Amino acid sequence: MILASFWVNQSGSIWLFVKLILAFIVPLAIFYGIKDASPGVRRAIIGATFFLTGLVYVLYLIWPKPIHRQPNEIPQNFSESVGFFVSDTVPVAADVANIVATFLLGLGVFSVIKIHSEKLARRHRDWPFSLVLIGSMLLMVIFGYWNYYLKNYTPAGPSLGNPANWTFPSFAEDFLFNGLYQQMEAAMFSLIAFFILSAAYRAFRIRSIEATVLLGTALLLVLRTMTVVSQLWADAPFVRDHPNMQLESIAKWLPNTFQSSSIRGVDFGVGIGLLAMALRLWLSLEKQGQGA
Amino acid sequence: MNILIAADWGNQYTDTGWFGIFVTLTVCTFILVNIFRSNQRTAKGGQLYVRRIQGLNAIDEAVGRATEMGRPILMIPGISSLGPVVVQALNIFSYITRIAGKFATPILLCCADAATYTVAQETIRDVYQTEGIGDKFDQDSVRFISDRQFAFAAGVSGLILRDQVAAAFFMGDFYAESLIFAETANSVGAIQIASSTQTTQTPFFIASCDYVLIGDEFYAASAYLTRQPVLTGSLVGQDWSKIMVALLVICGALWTSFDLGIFHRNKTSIVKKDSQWQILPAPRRVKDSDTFMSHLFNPQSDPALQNTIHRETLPSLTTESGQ
Amino acid sequence: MSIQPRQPIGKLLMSLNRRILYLILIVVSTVPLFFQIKVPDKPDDSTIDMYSKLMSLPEGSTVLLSTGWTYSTRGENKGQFDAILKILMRRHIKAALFSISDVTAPKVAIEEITELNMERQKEGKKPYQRWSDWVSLGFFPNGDGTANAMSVSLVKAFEGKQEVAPNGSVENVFNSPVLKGHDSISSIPLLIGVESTSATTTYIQKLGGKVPIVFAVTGVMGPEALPYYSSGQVSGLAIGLKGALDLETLMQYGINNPGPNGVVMVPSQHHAGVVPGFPNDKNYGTGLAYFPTLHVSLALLILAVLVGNIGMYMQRRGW
Repeated sequence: MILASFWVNQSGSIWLFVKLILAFIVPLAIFYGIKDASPGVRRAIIGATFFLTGLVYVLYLIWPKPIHRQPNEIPQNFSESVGFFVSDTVPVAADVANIVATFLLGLGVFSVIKIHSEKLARRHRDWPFSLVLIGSMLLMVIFGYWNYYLKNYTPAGPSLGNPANWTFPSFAEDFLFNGLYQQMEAAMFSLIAFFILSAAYRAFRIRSIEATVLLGTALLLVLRTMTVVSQLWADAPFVRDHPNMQLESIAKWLPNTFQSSSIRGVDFGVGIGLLAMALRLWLSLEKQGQGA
Repeated sequence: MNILIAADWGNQYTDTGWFGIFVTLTVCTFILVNIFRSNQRTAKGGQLYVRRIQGLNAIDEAVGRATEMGRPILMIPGISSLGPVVVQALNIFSYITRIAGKFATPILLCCADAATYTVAQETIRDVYQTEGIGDKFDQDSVRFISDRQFAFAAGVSGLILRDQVAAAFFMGDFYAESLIFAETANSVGAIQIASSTQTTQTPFFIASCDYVLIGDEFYAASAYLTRQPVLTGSLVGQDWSKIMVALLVICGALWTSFDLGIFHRNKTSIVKKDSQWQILPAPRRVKDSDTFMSHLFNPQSDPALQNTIHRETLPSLTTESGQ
Repeated sequence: MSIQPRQPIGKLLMSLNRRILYLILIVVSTVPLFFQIKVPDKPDDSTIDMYSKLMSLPEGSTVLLSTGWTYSTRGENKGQFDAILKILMRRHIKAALFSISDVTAPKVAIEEITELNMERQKEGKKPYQRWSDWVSLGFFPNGDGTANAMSVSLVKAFEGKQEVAPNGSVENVFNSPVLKGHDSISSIPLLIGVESTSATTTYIQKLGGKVPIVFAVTGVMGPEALPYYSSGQVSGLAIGLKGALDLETLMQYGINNPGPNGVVMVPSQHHAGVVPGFPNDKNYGTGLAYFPTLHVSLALLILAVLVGNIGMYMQRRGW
């Protein structure tokens, strides 16, 4: 019963306050304890934390889940109590992870500012790039939040959806985000087209039977994407009478028969490797991963 | 109050499918048993065999080349958030850093995730300290560049070109930026060793890098490099699991073929619907969804269950979201 | 001035300066963008399945629309996203927009909806209204955890998310017509993912079997999603720019649907039955606009590979 209603508290209830205070004090105590503990104890605390947090997801996988659960339903036995508790914990764990991930971004920003401000202050090589980076970051933050404030906390906010009603901050944010950032992102991505062309020209050579087979299959799939070619192919006299010889049919057969099965094989290996890694981390068998 | 505990348990399992759980637990058992075996064998002075992986043998060569040239080694643990893939990449990078640290070869570890950055910094500092060269650790050698994919790609490409890296290691989850990194590093003549758990990116790495670890070789790397009994045992457990999966695939294909019949000619007069077998008005050809394997992987729950159990609720418990 | 010995032609063909290749690529990929070229298209079975799934949704129902694309992959994803949105708008289907793969993706998607709404207003149609037709749930950095939470309860997974109601008050998204009554994932008829990352795998792992799923993915992510389509875990799949064009073609002609002259423009043996299109609306967008560029770029790729191999052959022969 306590388990099942652990994450459900009425707003303003004493239990909610007690839990909030405990949620603040317990992690502080753990952090303080870790700071002064010997490496062995520290490893044990970290291992226990790993195990307990991981246990929620392990139980989520293997414990019978409540199905057709009604709102505010009371669990009937121990199995249901645990099932309810685990199901209720998963969204809370997701929220916590989302919040932690967002806060960690602050650490990343700190690293960027530290490295580039030092570079700037000491006039290291290529310092103007650092200046551009810090300047762009500040501009984006200022105009992003300014526009956000106008949109959400001023009476004119709802009308800002229409560009006709935009003021300076909206134009500035649009210029920085859509005009610069997004276009630069697209430009970086489009570089891949050039690299693919150069890599294909350099590496796609018929040096062996395997390479010839690879080139042949790649050619068929590329020709299939060129619908003008596949249309001409389909109209060819022999192909017209043999639909299996159409590029569409061949291009469907190749991925379904060879590509998907190969990818499945590799994915099985990767999945099992991932599971083994996760298991070692969860049970603290992996010593290096904890920075130990 | 009618509580159908037994039925309840069974039917709850059909929601997730017991077969998936069974396979997962079997894989876990294989891994743990083999870790135990490996520990036992090591205690007796033996060691489990791990086949040669060329890309990992080339690590020493790449670090040696960077040392000779006096240029940095670049390491990137992918762009995914902190998880087992990143931890594995950092394990490999710890090994590389250890060798590089011995020769005072500069390193650069670029992160696209803030959590990875903090863990990576601690891990790399730890390696230097363990090797007794803590004073040589440069805090700026581990950097957070950006969590935006192409801003990260641009930043790393800039670093590759400006610092003229001699060796580049790309290990982890990579997406479209893989070819940008590999081609840029190729253009400065860096020796490149890559491994991506993303199968779609492996071809790009193969086209541009000197050595590529394919699929689960990535997870075998730390076992191969360190030969720790826990890791080699786990690797053998993974191989057992792969054999089991291969057998399941073969058996499944045969069983389904048997159900469907030669040239898909078999007919059926009963089908399973909502966990109940129903008689068809007339026999029809067996569909994929009628086969045993389909039932095994797509368990059906019984909608009638909803009405058979009386549920007691607490009206006083309300949540913020107005439930 | 010394006279350089003439390079054998084989070696020359094998070692073309890559800057020349890049320049040719820029020219051939840019020129088609200035012309309206209509190319033939025969939609793939996986896209036909996706279209028929979208067309079979009950009017007024709510779908979860996961967006994981930004301008970097707009060449492929914009066409797919626009086509999906046009279908949802025309069929009065509501959408809850969110992302687990890119923090800027919801913003890009919202701007796309604004753009399509302007088009609709020009055509004299009712705009797709925020709050009553769609809501934005934002970005969730911990994708795995969020997808797990969604499988337990949508209310808990999206707890605390708010939108501005028409009366100006900020309210819980579950009070909106879009999500009202949708406490569980099982009440959602479809999850649509327009993705450029492996968020697709996350959804299949965590939500597979609990909700029907369709994906529109970039060409490079296609092979990763394809095994899940052939196994039936994904109900429909549009891959790359071809997928975008396929969706546009299907919107124009439908499936097995006779046109005004009685001719079926998109016949399909794969999908039995007739699915109508929207012949009187503007269906073609970036899918068709960018497709000729893909054609000529691929032709150049084939040509470059051929030149390299001919060069290798000639060099081996000593030419």
